[in-house]
Amino acid sequence: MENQVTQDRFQSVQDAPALASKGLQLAAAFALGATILFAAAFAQSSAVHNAAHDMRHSQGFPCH
Amino acid sequence: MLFRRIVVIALLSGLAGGLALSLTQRWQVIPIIVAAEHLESQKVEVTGSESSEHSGHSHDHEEWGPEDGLERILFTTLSNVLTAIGYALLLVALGAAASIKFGKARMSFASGLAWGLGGFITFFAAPSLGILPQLPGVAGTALESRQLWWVATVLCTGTGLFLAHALKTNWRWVGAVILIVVPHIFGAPQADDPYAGHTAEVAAQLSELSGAFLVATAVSSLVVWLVVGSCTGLGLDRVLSKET
Repeated sequence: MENQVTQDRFQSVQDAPALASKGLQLAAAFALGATILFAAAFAQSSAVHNAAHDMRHSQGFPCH
Repeated sequence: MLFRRIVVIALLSGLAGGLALSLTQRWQVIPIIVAAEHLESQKVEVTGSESSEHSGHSHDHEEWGPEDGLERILFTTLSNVLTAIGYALLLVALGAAASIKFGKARMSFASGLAWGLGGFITFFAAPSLGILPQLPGVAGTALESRQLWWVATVLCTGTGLFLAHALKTNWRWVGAVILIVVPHIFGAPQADDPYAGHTAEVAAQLSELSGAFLVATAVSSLVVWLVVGSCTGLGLDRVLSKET
């Protein structure tokens, strides 16, 4: 009995990555996209601003 | 794994969208930016030496910036591709969520175009109703307040469109209209004089350029969204048929 529980636990730990729900994976992809957009559009570092300058203006992101 | 598959779709769609954006932008947006920067440089001469350190573009000064020419084109193309990948990640995540979680039909090439149009409305059309795409040399109010209004408008419009698509209750239309309209009732922060510091002649030229700039940016923004939308639609069609 105890053996069975341990085995189940072991199994569930093994399956954990595969069991990460689809919702969570979609949320992760959304968050990744939002982070990339935030960095490209709004990062205030002057090097990033200057590199992305023409893109920011042409996409209508408030730039300066 | 779903995450890996949709990220690959987003990377490929973003690459296609970013390159398409770079081409349209090169042809009709960049010449207007260059013309406006030329006018902006005249502003520095007009305002005199005591304030010239703080006016104009930060990339006129000592901080690093890409050299005009090939380097600037490459960095702009890189930022375009990154931005398009960001757009594509949002589209694949929401498109897959609509079909997996809300029982909507799988995305296809055609519905991908509609999603792309939704992205264009969310990220370009709605915020542009309050804050026009801004030319170098044209002043706005404090950057933080414009960015805040811009982000809030994008979030409200995007949420409104997604709920209108995904939910089944008829109340969704009421919710969507409220979400889309509220930022505009609240109103975008506006500058008192967008052409402050310019001579009347330069201000008139900048104003004329701003009209052309709105059309040019709308076209290039529509292009990137339609390419990203149709590519993510095609990709999701294939991936989700294996998932379900």
